[in-house]
Amino acid sequence: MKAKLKFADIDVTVNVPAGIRVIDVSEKVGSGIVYGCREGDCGTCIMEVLEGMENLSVPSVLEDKVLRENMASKRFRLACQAQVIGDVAVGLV
Amino acid sequence: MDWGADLSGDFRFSFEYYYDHIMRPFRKYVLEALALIEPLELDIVAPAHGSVLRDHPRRYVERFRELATPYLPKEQGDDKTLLIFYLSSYGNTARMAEAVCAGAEQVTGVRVSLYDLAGGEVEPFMDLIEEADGVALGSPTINGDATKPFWDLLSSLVVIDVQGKLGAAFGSYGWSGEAVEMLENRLRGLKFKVPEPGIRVKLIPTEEELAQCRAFGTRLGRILSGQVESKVIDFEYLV
Repeated sequence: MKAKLKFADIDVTVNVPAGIRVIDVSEKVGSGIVYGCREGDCGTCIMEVLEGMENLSVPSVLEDKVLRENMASKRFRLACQAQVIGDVAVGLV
Repeated sequence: MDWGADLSGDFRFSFEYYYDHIMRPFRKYVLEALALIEPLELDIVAPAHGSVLRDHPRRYVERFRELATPYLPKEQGDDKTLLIFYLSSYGNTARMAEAVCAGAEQVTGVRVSLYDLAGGEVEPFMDLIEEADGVALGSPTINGDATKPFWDLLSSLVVIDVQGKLGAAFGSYGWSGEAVEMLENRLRGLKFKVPEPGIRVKLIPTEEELAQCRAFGTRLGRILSGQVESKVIDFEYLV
């Protein structure tokens, strides 16, 4: 199954295999999303989901905790955790 | 009483150091705050952090205005600026840099400057980078690493705001060529945007490779001037 993952900051859309994490694509295409720990703990890679929030995997308990600790609104997810299930557009915070 | 002495000795050094190392990346907000403070009648400046300024408080506000005003302000109107820094052992990365420069200069509305980092100090470039829209770094790979002047340059950038500027890297190498990717990763870590994969050339660039460098420069210029067409690519292309 394929999904479209759009990085709004560089206006690049990538046709990705469903289930892939945003982190596995964003650095390869040169999006400006910045990573810290890469394991869902530090909150550095918080991104804004512009479209298709329902097409990302449900946040884990850990991701949810980190998002709440960073007072992130409902539009935000961690790029190192979120898996792409359907078409999604993401942007920088 | 002399400027800066206030009631606790001369702390001008600390006052300036605090701006240079703490406030400078937030210069935009400093200027916004100054615009609010400057019209006020000042009796005292009592910041949340640091000394209470009782003696001639207006002087501190004026000095902050001077510090937060660009030392080398933009002089090219609406043109975008790309700074290309390079270092070259045998002239190979230098030729690449010249080609990247020539390619970027093709783009209307982009001003390109080329700097050789050899033997120079990186400190004077901070003021230029602070005002620039993009930087491209050309380093050879020596002993599996980018060259020291680039690490010096990059480690100095923490005191200025570079978030969202365009970053790019390129370079010639003899064996493994890690420098380009290392520089790109550091640029990303500093929150530059690095949308164009860098160019690596083994030893002496061929005419074809120099043409690739020119095309790379042109793409960087087009990104700076906002002439980017949206792209759709397959993930398989990336791996």
